[in-house]
Amino acid sequence: MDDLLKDFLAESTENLAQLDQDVVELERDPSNASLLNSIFRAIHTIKGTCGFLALPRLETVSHTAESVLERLRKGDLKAEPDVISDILRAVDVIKTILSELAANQAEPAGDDSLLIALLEQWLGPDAPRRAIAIGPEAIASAALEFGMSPDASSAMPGSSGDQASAAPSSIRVNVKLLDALMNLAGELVLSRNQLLEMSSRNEDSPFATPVQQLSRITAELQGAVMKTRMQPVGSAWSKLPRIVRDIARETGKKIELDMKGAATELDRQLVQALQDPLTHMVRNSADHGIESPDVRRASGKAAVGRITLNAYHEAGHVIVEVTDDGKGIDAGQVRRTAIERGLVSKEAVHAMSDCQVLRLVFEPGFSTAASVTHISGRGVGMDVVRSNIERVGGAVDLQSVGGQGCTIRVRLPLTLAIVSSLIISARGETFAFPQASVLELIRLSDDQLGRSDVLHDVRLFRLRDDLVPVVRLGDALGLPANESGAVATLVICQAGAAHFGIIVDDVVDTQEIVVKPVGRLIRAVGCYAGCTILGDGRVVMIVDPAALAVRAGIQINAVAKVAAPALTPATRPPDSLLLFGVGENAVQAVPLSSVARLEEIPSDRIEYAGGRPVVQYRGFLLPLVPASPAVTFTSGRSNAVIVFNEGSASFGIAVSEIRDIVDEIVNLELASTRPGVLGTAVIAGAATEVLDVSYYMERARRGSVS
Amino acid sequence: MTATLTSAAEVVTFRVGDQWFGVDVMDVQEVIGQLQIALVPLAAPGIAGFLNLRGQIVTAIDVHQWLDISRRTPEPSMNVVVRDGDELFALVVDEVGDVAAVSPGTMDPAPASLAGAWAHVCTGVVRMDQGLLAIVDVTRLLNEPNTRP
Repeated sequence: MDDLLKDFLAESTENLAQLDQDVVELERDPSNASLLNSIFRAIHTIKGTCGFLALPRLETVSHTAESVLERLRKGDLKAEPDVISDILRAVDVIKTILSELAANQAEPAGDDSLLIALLEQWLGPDAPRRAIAIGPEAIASAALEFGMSPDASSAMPGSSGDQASAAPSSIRVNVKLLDALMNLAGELVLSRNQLLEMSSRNEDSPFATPVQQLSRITAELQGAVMKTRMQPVGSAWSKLPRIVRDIARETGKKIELDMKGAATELDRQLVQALQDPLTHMVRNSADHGIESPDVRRASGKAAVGRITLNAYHEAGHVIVEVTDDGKGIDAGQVRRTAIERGLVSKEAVHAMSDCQVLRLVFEPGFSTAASVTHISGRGVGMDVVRSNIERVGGAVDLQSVGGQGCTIRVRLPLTLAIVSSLIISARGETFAFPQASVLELIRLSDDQLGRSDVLHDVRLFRLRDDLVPVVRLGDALGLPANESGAVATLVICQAGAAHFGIIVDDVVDTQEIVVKPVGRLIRAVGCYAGCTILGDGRVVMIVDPAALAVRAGIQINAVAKVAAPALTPATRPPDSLLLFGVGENAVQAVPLSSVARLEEIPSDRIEYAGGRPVVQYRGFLLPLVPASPAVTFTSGRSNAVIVFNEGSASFGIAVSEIRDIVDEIVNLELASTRPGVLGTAVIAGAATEVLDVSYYMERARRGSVS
Repeated sequence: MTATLTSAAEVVTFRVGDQWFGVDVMDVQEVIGQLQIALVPLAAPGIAGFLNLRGQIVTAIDVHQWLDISRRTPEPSMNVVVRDGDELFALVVDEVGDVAAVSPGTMDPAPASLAGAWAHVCTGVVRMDQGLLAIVDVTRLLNEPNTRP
């Protein structure tokens, strides 16, 4: 591309980002002369350069827009919403042409006569009112023709508006170069760490002083390089005033957008990751949150709705809050929708607290909007917001008071490149865990570990009143077993709303580590978040706890976990349960009410029909289904069988031994991971799987047919 | 299978087990001695782990296992560091030989009878004093899904 054109595009892009903000600001503050001047200058510069570069279409549009601005500047016209809208339309067309220009190095073909007509009506002698008759349809179709897709503004790469106007002391640097600098600084830190370790081994080395100096300079260099990657969070906000203004105009609402803490800095990668979710949240607030002025007045609020963005640092994180004073989110509506969409069961959702209910809006497939407007509710909902935020290690939460508005709180790490982590060891190997996903550490004696319950290969640990599935890191990673010490550490982790534990041998250290991406051949493994180099030069893998848990067969089902505490004891009378053993030491339960009889059947009476065990019982054949593959029919012994009746059909479930009958309130703590099991609960003080009788019924019936 | 070397080129030669290989010298960044390799649990067979090359993470490939070559008696290994795209890989080999010049004229196409992984990565053979030199395409070698015969 021609250098002149390249410079023109870069400059214009920067100016335009500022322009949108300024024009909206002007509408609010029509008498602000300096604002008007800055808008005029931006358009004027574009127009002026067009002449040199032979871009007639761009020149005509910017020239006409400039003429309207000139009248505003002279005071012949007032900055009313109608004229501002037309100027914004012109800005959009300029943006579209510029982005085409950037892509194809040529001005796109197109007809701007409608836009020119719209603009020129403001230039006539009696301009203040619309001089030519243009119906609303014509304007709508004009908008289409102008190429004002909702994405028109996002076609321009976002640039920091705040800095654009105060530029002389800064230069433009390629982002790739910054990334390369960051990597080099990271490597320098690692080499420095190695040197430090070497020199600390012999104190009277002549290298000690220079190494100390090198160390200090390296730390400072790294800090400075990190800073070059920092961007004010406000650069993700520059498009929002325009979006809010357009929605307000379109829906006839009055909305004020308040932005605080725009200068709060965070890594540019995070600023980018924040942009789309933020836009979505603000759109939601403007479209669905804020009510129309009449409704607001009727409910005793100010006619003008207010959306507040607030960004600030807190405990090493950046918090971004989006607050509106609209109608809030109706927990009842959320409950109904959640049931309708089949996200949670009726019983579960009604026992949840309002706070838990509100979080359901982050579940996939959820949208509360009664009507889908073209502004929001296009199928990409809050679940996308949450997954985008979580992808960069952030978290999002929501609070709402019915009728008083809603606050969404996003918590982001300062940077992606360096994370606090726990350095742990397992079976002689060293790994790193990102600290953000670790909730607590528990020192375990072997004894305690032995007492934890095992259910269908998943070990469960009783943490206060919860059953938490745990996995040994060494087993999950397939490390060869060795003699481990008498104590181990249980790392309780969180992924989504689910908690689980990972057993490691020891926690060695906490460190700020530089995350390096893993090569493509290792990426396929899936349970590493990256790798890093420790001070002694060793490469260690950074374990992604959530992926590890999934790999180890622990179900991370957010909804099930949220619903778990829902069945509160007070709401139901206790159930009578039949407890029985399956295999070595696993315990399962069925409701006693579903059981017809208990039988002891000697193995030699068991016959096989079509490969399935049956027994002659009271004049008919009773199909038997083992409760688990661990239940076998050993000859010479008798087998415990629980007989169920279903209509005229009967079937038996073979178990290892009948244990007990207890009266207990069943709280399913863990959702089932396999068919035939409803879930897991603490019954008579032990982790117990509750069987789904209908599943075995079905299996017995199919068996007897074949 | 056609040879990728269309004009005269130089190859770095190395030995794995009893077999000599050659890779285009333009793909090779450096040759280094034995380094500590960090194991990566659950990685595919043939991936030895990661090594730390002056602060850069390099994926180490155990060529013995990768290409199913039986190991002679244990011997100290060498690393041939190659670049594929943006990524560095270390080929863990037994011995590194000279840089040899090969031209399309001296190179024979890879025998059609080669099986599995070999047929995929070997682009030609050159008769040398010490035996046949298998010319290997680095990109293909590293993208070989490691199908075992």
